[in-house]
Amino acid sequence: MSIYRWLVGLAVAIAMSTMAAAEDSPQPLIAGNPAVAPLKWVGLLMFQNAKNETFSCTAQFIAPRVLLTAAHCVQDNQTGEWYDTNKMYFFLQYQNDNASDIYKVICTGHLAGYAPKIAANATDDQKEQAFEDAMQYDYAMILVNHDSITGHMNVDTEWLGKHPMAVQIGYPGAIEGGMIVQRDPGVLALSLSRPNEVILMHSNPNMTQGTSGGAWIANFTNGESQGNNVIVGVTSFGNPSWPGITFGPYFRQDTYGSLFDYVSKGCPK
Amino acid sequence: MRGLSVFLTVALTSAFAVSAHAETRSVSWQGQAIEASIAEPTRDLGPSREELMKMAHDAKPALPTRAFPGPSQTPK
Repeated sequence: MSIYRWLVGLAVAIAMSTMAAAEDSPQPLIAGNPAVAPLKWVGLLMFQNAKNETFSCTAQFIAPRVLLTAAHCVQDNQTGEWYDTNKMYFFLQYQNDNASDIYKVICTGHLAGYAPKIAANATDDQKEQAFEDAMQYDYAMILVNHDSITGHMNVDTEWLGKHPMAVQIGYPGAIEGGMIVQRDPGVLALSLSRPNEVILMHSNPNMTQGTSGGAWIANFTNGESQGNNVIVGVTSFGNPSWPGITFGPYFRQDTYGSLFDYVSKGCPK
Repeated sequence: MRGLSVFLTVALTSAFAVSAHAETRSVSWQGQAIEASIAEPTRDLGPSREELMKMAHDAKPALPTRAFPGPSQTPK
């Protein structure tokens, strides 16, 4: 058993103790309502690769013109290929082949840590390690061509000790064909392997492909008071050995704030 | 004169066609290393709403490009 697996197991055990306390409350229905907060700020991100294959992720507004999603939804960090921003669109409140509005992309950016520069003479182990470490920076922001018509969510950085639980959202292809936004509550835990990585333990193992970039929302409620519906992470990846466990980046104030400022200003030179 | 007009039209159209691609850049912003991709500012509206909806319907749920921590990885 690798040390990494052992450390994840320990984190899972810690989170399970918190989850036990939450089991007394009834589990909400998983299908979400995109007409009300917080899902009215969420939508489907569509993009194409160089082979003209079309993919979908989940994204959400964090400012009137700025979306938050996963970095792997805008660039392949293995090949370096950026998905063509000229062919990238966001469908707000997407559901059953409809959307309240469609947005074009002006620019997108992510932290350079997501695309590690691998030395030509690096060993396979070193490459493996570099790309594993890169996933803790797996988030991106996107500037779109006009304001959100429904508003936006707020983001909390460096929230450990403040938010024990969150709701994972997204458009998983394994549920309803990805046609309806889904929500799944879970318990948050710190990854013990990487300083900028967190874990969400939730109940539905089908919250997989298509939920990439979907927010983890603390204080999830239809109410829009201050402090409600705060983003504390986005879905990055999972592992079939641990169904229902999702990994995501932990937002540091300095790096998150700089990326937001940069993209908000139109990704200047 | 008509020939010159046609020539200029073709030349300008070709120039825009060549430049219609996203630009990428790496910057240091507030001390943080950031990479970005910028869309062509003059691009048109693109496909119709109906065409976009069809594309979204047919899109494959994205796979992350990185598998962890072994060959059996299932990306989100």
